[in-house]
Amino acid sequence: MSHVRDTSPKPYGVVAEFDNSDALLEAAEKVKAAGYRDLDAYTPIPVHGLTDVLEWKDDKLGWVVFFHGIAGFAAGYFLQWWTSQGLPVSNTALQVNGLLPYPMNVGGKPEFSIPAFFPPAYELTILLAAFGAVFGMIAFNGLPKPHHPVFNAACMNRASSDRYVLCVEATDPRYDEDEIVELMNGLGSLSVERVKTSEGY
Amino acid sequence: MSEMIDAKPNKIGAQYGMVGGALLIGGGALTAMGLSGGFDVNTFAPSFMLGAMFWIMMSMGCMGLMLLFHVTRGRWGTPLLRVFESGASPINLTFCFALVMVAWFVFKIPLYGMWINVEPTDMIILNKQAYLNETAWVIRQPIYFAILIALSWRLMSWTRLEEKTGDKKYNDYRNNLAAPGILIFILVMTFFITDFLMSIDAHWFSTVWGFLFTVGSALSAMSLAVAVVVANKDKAPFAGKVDNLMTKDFGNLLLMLTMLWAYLSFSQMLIIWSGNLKEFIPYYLKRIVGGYSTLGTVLVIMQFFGPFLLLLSPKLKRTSWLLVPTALLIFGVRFVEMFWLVMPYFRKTMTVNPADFGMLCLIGGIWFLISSFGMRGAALVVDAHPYQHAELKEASAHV
Repeated sequence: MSHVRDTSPKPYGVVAEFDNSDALLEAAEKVKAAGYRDLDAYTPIPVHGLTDVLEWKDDKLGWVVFFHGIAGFAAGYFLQWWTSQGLPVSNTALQVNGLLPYPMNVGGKPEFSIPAFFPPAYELTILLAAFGAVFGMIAFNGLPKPHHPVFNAACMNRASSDRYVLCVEATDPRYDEDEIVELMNGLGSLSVERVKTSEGY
Repeated sequence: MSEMIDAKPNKIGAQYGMVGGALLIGGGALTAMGLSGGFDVNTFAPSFMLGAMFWIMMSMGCMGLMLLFHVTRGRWGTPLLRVFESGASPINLTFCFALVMVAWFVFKIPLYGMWINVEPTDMIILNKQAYLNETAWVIRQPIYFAILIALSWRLMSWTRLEEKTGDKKYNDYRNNLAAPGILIFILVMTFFITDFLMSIDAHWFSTVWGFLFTVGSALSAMSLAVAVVVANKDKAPFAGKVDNLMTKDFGNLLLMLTMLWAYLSFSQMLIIWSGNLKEFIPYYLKRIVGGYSTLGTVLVIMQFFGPFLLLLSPKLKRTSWLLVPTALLIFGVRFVEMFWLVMPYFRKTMTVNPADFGMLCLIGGIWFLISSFGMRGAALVVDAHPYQHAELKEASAHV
């Protein structure tokens, strides 16, 4: 019967609940010092210095935004160049489906007028960079995600109002549930829970 | 909080003194080289104007940023304020006023001859004479500088009083004065730059010049202050106070000013280019011929694209040895812009006289020496700020 999928719950991690941000920060530092790396925290408000403690150095999104911006800028100028001046009419081999540019004489200025074409290129830069930021954020966060295993923990019900939750995830190479529960209990937490998942995590 | 005040740090004061001395010697030598053919007001006026404009703009930039800091009360200003205060001190502004007076009394005809000896058929200038005449021009200059000196003196004395007495009411005083002060400052800048530089060619005008020079001068002052403070950031009294979060703010402020400068410069150019009217285009025509277009290209690349792309990087803003050269690059290219703005009024093709650099260094030397005295006897990190008081630290961390 080896082809039947194993749906028995697997450990997702251990969560501990705190009632203020300082306690969370202190706990996160201690858990980090104990050698655990795969940590996450859930807080109702942004906590200053938390990302430093968790050592999140993720700058992928910045690059995504940057290259979207570059692409927007290039596309903006390319479109205006292609429609206003384009390739010489004699160069038919390079014309796409026989499309010809539609040059306009505006006050005798060049057909490809770099200063006048800057604002649309700039706007496209901003538009694509914003798309990059929003959709990049959604993609990197793995959204949409209707359910997350950490919601199986009871304390998560108040994580968006007045509780601060720290989680050591099972993906941690040093993961040992009993050891972590013991460690977390000694950190002044209100409660410690073992979280299970059957979602393949 | 007295233990936080380091009363005799003055590394920067000493550095300013050395830079000032070196500039004076070098500037003197270069000016002497430029004057080897004898002193002639007509050939010397452009060199003087270039040097005077560059350093008056430095002081103006310091003034603008000092006002901006007192309005926003951001954490970034605590190590920078002393640099701004020394650059915009009453004595330094008096020096700037003296430069304006030298321009008037020594170089009046080569600079402003166009509207002083107006042609009887020149209707454009004749119609401007109610504003643009000798008496009005001379009366206006002391008014501009009196306003700025009064503002600067009042703000600086309140900072010192707060540091001496610890009374936080002076912080509110500064805040309340700086808000209208920044509006007054931009108006004064607009009038001043119109009189001092724009009136050299009295046929042409641009209403954005007040903002353009406010932003440009702030860019000069900010780049100098950032270079000076970040280069000293691991030494007392900055050590531990100028952290990575703060240098990131410095970098972001430089980025903001760079973008604002490009935005205003480009807007002016785009409007004139689109309008294509013969009253307006000569300004740019003069600045794209005779080798000046090379400088224009350098400005586009080095004053905008270069610093813009560099300052996007968060790593650069956290790393002193990368941020300092970037700030110095911006500072250096400010001189290129000033050359590109000032010289085409006088020289049809781009030529360089040793006296151009001579006057820049000579006036700069005096400017640094005056500023170095402003630095002495003052704590380099300002204590009179809500951020320095723990209970408000978090509240002002991201202002």
